Amino acid sequence: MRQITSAVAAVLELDGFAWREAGPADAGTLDALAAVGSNRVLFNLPASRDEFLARVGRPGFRIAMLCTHDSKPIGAAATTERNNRSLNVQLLCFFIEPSEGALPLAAYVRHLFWSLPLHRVYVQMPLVPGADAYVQLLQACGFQDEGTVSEYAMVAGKPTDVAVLGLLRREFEAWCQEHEKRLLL
Amino acid sequence: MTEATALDFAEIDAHRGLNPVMGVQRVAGSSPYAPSMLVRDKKSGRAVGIVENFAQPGGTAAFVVYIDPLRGRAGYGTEAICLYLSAMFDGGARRITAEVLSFNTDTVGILRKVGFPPQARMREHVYVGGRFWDLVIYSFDRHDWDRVITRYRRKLPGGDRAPAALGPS
Repeated sequence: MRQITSAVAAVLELDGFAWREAGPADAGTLDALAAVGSNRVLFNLPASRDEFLARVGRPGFRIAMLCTHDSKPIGAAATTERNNRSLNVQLLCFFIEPSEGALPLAAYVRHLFWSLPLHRVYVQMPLVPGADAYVQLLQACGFQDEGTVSEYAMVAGKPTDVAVLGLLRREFEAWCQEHEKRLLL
Repeated sequence: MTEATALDFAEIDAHRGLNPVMGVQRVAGSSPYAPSMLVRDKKSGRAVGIVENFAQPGGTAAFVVYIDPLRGRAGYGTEAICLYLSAMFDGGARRITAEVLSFNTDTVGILRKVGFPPQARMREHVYVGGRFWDLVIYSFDRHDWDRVITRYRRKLPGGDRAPAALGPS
């Protein structure tokens, strides 16, 4: 993926990784990241560049951010299904190499807890090929397995199990204390 | 729905809105699988509860049952669920889910009684009544349901034991 230059300042920078707000100009890059592996299906991402253009920053795709490493895009994240009463939000995250996404993902999650009065962040994703790498990625960031709902999603016309993972604020703080003190809130 | 039924429905619905145990429930929209229904005591005709559902993508639907604790009695919820869920599957639902607050012991008890274990537990997912509670998720398909309903067949329409709780809506 090509290098990108942007006038938008990075919100978070850590060990060469940088997160910055994604805008309409990033629709093509987001679409290219979504096209990697099973990313689009795993996180029910917009189906095209034009759909990204229409959804970035709007309900269902808020706090959209692009992650770069040495100026090359390596992943993105956003939130959906935010509940202001119960203080939780559903996370979408998609990387070129999920196995290398632990530190940047933890930084994004830190940004969520730092920016919003959240009690909990959670992920729901169909268990299609490629999901294991994301389960491992999320668990590496402190997310806990909360179960699997049988055949809840339809993927390519086939009933598919859906995994549920969640992370509470206090668990993330404990995770930072143990694994990455630089991210402590 | 008659005017009297609509009034009963609104009254039960208002009670439901004040009951923390139903704090998780969303307002059911129109569903292709079954309409919202009022549960009546068959002998007295008194409205005792509501059953409804909301459709989700992929042919799934989440069902909601609420039996007013001041009007209902043990067994109404089970009978209402048995009739309503069968109607939802007959209406084309591929899979039915229930999202239940962990302290909703009545519904948890019913689902345990009919043999459905929880499939996921979203920890501290819902804030209601002054604290965060776990949200327990159940899910089953027609095949699972048929195994359950066989045990209750005698109580259902066409069986030789009339249900105690359900009358015309």
